[in-house]
Parts: sequence; C-alpha cells; structure tokens
Amino acid sequence: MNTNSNRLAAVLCALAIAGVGCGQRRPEYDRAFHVSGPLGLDHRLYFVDHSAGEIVALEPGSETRPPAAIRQPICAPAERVVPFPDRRGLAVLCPAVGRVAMVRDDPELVSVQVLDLPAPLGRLALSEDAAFALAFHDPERPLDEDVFFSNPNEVALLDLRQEPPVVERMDLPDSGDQPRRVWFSPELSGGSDRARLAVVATRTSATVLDLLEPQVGVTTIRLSADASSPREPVEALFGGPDVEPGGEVLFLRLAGSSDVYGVHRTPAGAGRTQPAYAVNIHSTSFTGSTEDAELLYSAAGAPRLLLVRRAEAAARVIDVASSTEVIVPLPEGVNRIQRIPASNGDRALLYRADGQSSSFYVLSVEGIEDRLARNVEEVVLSDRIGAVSPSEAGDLAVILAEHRRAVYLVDLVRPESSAYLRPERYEMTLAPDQVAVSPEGSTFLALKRSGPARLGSLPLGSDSRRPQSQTLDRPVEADGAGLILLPGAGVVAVDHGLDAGMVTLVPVDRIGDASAVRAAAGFMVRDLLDPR
Amino acid sequence: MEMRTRSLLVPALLAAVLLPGPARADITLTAGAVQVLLAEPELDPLAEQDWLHAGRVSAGLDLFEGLGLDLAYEGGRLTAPLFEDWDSALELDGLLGGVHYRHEALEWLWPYARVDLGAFKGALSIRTGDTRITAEDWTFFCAASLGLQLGLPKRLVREWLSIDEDSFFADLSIALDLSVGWAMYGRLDFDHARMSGPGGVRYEESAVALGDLGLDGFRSGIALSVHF
Repeated sequence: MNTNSNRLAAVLCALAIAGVGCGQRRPEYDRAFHVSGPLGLDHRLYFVDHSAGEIVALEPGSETRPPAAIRQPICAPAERVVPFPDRRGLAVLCPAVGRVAMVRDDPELVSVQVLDLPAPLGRLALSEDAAFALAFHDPERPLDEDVFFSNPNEVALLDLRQEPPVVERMDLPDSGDQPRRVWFSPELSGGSDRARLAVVATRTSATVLDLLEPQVGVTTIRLSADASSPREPVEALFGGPDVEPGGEVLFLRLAGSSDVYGVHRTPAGAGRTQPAYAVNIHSTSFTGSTEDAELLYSAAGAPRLLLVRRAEAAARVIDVASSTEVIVPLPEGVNRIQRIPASNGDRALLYRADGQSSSFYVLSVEGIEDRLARNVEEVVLSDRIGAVSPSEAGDLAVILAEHRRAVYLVDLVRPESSAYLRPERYEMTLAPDQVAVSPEGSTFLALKRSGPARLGSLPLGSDSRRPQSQTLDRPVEADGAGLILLPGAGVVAVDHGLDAGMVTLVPVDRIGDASAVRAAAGFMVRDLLDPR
Repeated sequence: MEMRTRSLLVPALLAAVLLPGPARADITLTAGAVQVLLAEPELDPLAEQDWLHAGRVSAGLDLFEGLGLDLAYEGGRLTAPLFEDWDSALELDGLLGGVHYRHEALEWLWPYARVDLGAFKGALSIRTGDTRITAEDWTFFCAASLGLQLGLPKRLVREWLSIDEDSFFADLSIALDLSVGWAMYGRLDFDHARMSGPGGVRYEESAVALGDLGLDGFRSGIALSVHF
C-alpha cells in the first residue's frame, strides 16, 4: 500500500509540475483588433493587422481557384500605410521601432522587406515610380518623452532601385522648422545633365535634393526669414522631362501667395561641384492667393503655368520663358484644374469644388496668347458639381452631382458626348469612393451601399451602353470601403466592412453574371489557432 | 468501435438490473466534473485560462472481481473574450466507453484504474458583431485515469435509509470519486469554417481555414457515485 501510494504521489507531482509551465494567454488576443485597409494594389487586396504586425494579402482567385488570403509579418506596431503611387506595393511605417516594411505586390507572390530606419521616422513619401522614398519625422507626432535631443531635420533617403534597398541617413539644413511635404520629380534631362529631384518643404523653405547624387546636390531655398511669417510651399510642379540647362525645372505654389516660384537648375561643371539653383518669381495680377496651379505644354512643347482662384472670374496663363501673363476671362471663378495631356497642345478641365456651380470649362493652351483663337468651352450640367474624380483612363472624368444622386461621365476630348446617369430608382447617393472607371476606360462602375448592396456597370467607348447590375449577398457596413479595382487581376472588389473580413470579388467584364461572383469571408482570422 | 461498445454495454446493464440478487453485478452511476489542463498555445484565442471544465455522467458495471465496463458522456465548453469585443467558444461533446478495475482496499476506500475510449465532437464559434464563424469536427479520444472512491459503508447507508437486506438496493452505497489522468485527443481540424451574418449567401464563399487544435492534457475529476 505504501509503495502504491508513493508511486501515485510521484505521478501527481510530475503532472502538477508539467501544469505549472503552461504560461499565460498571449496578450495579442486581449488587444483590440486593429486593422486598416483594404488597399487595392495591382493584383491583390491588402489589409494591415496593426496589433499583430502582419499584412494580409487577399488574392482574388479565378474561376477555378477560390480567393485565398496569406499573412506575412511586417513590423509592429504598424502605424502608417503608404501605397506606392504605381500600385505595385505599399510601405508600412513602424516608427516606434524605427522600421519600414516594403511590401511588393508582384503577380506571382507577395514579398516583404523590413528596412531599418536611422530614427523613429513617422512619415514617408514615395516617387511616382516607387524608385525612391524619403522618410521624415511626423510633424504631428509628439516626441517621445524619453528623448532628450532630437533632430527634426533628420531624414532617410531610400533607394528602392537597389536590391536590397539602400537606406541613407541625411541631415537637411536647419530652417527653423521641419519637413512637412515631399515631392519627387520624374527623371529630368537637359543636354548631358540628368537629374531626379526631391523637394522637401518646410514652412519657411524648400530643400532640393538630387536623388542621383544625394550627397552633393542638396540646396535649400529660403522662402521666409522666420517661422512667424511662413511661406510654405503647398504644391510643386516639375518641368520637363526635357529642360534646357539653366532652365526652370521646378515651380512652387506657396500658401497665401498669388505668385509662383520658378526654380532654375544649372548643372554641375565649369568649376562647380554641385548643381546651382536660382529662383525666379512669376508674379501674377491676382490680388489674393492662388488656389490651384498646373503646368501645361503647347504643341511646340513650350510650358505655360495655369493659375486659378475662386474669387476671380479669370484664369491666369504665364508663359514660363518670358513670364508674360495672359488673363483668360471665365464666366465665374474656379479653384480646381485637371490637366488633359495631348500632343497637339494640352487642355485643362476647370471647375469649382464648392458645390456652387453647375458648369465646368475646358481650356486649350494652344494659341492662348491670341485673343481671337482663345479656346474656352463651357459645359453646363443639369446639377451642381460635387466631386470630380479623374479616371486612370485619362480622357475621362467622373463628375458626381452635388446632391450625389447623379453621375456624369465626361469625355474630356469630346465633352458633348458625355454620358449622364441618374440612378434614382435605387434612392441611392454616391460618394467618390463608390464610383470608378476601369483602368483601360472600358467600364464605369458604381456601388450602392445602402440596403441590399448592388454593383452596377456601364460599358464605355462603344455604341452599346447597356448597364449591368449585380446584387451582392451581404450589405456593406458603414465603415466598409467602396469600390476597389485590382487592375492586374481585372477584378473589382467590394469590402463589406466586417472585422473578420468579407469581400465580394467580381471580374470587371462579367458584372451581371452571378456565376462569376466570388466571395472571401473570414480571412482575417485565417490560421487563428496556429501559434505564430 | 463506438457502436460495438454500446451493443455490449446496454444488454449487460439491463441484465444486471433485472436479474435477481446473487447473479446481479454491481452497478455504479456517477455524475461529476472533469477539469482538463490544456497547455497548448493554440488554445489561447479560445480560453483565458488553461483549464477546461466539463461535466461527466457515466454508468458502470462490475462484471468480474472489480473488472467492469463504463459508458459515459462528457460535455464541456470554453469561452473567452477575443480582441476586446469579439467572443470565442469551443463546445466539446463526447461519448465514451471504458474499462475499469476497482479494488475494495477498505470498506470505504476503493482505488480504481480506468481507460476510456471514445469520440468527441468539437464545435468552434467566433462571434464579432452580427457575424459568426463556425466549424465542427469529430475526433477520437483516449484517456487513462487513476482514482479513489471514498464511500460510505453499505451497512451505514442501509441503516440511514432503512433499506431491507433483501431489497434490490441492499448494497447501495454513495462515494466521493476523485481521479487524475492523462487524455489524448486526435486533432480537431477547423480548416473548413463558414461565416454567417447579415444577408443571405447565394454566391459561393471560400471556407475559412482557422487551423487545428490539440486537446491533450492532464485531467482531474471529482464526482459523486452511487453503487448498488
């Protein structure tokens, strides 16, 4: 009996010791589920699981392959998500740990590179082609309490053309402020000079970096003597791609100013080790601040600056070469410009963005100096203009009526042939994120959120404009995203806004065909039971 | 396996109840609680602590010199808040057949050993707002337990309850049943979960692969047994 009791006690002790090592529940299951997204890139839909420090990529699948989600670790805690302008990736900043994750949306796979930043930089700007990025301190983020000194002009230049990407720490000249905005130029060439510029704006200055030679080409242009009278650049326009040596490569519109600053670049050489920059102020006859500016090119390639402000019923066109100004009268003041590039001279769509006008104007830059040949076409809609969404197809703009119950598809080349849709039957209102035009411009898409969700499509560019519609299984919750196009996959996605993940996926060219509709549900909790 | 066990046990229990005195075997009816220590990290989303509390009812039949058979039902539920405003739940229901050996060491002390085999159904549910993700799976179960039954002497029970010695319940006794053991489960596969929520589903939705779950672990039990 004693022997048996001892054995039993030994077994119980062993089991108890085994039980002690069980550990606590991991804390991520007690934190709020913090997900941002989705972001639609070329081939997939992306969500960022901030608490887990992971990215969730949803592949839309195909007729033979169901949608599938994959999780990949990035960095944690993830704070800011910045999509690549070319939709081929996204960057996730984790300033608390001084890292940035670069996620590439390649056709075959999702790849993640986590790069170390030299400091807890909370903002990131990317060039249009995602070849360069500049990380800088978030001006709205308070400094950590345990930091004694900080250098707000410390930045990191990321050369994403390299494999692996190269991160270069830089100190920008102190301007009494810190970086607030960054713009990147396309590649500029003038004779043998090649340059790619980044412009870093503070409230009092603009610093120009030559990305091809970042250590020698840093120049700061002071725009104000002190921060108490800021002259902050709010828009940068780049000339080119071909600019004569010494020509103007950059135009800066400043907050509260009617003038535009043109920046000349003289390449290095002839005794200079770095390029020289000089400023030329293009003054206008506006009495207040310019609200929008655009650079347009004539058929001969001559650049013209187009400037507008709502308080004056005119547009100003400045010949960059001579700084001469042409005043083009308009029936009313406008404050938005959308460029319409064309080889026979650019045009521009001008409109008011305050919901007070039912007209928009198409201005041609060709022959603008000739009062008789001047070409401004007014198009009057039946409704006041609410929002204008440029389409990726170029020659098409989507205009939402101010009351949001009508949509105009404006052919920017032939405005008279624009389409007009009034989906009143559904008593729906549309927000800009509920309408889209497929990238090749073949289909207009709209999403109805309220009540039973419905997807509508209208073929464009053909004589037959027969609309199609598709009722979705589930409603779209209030915080659900709108229409998201995945151009590389030829799919339109509707996020229903459910925490666990719910997305309906429809091939753009098969809206109305119920057999083509795919749905991915619950993918945010995929592998929940698998310890990570 | 389960059907075979049931086909043997049911006639045996009936026979034991219906047969007169000396030919009748001892019957034990037990109801109590089982605690299973689940130390696997994959259970973290489903539980705030490591113990699964389950209920167990069983009927046992001593056939020969303390050797007997058991038929039991065990059911338990794990619930936990998840991601602050989500809920998760795992329900387990099992039907078990077992073999035991009980030795009457003293009039009031009956140590025993038991092996249970059976099948368990696991039902997983994750709820967020109006949305619920559910999945079910079956798995096998095997457990080995050692226990002690601390019983009231039959003589005392007879006196307290005024039971005749010729009565069917002449051997009635009540015991506190304490046990410890180790349980092995097959893994529950929850890779084909489905989501339900607002709106009907007409389009095919992809299944949710939640992963799989192991429930192996130390178990202890406390129960009240009635022998007659």
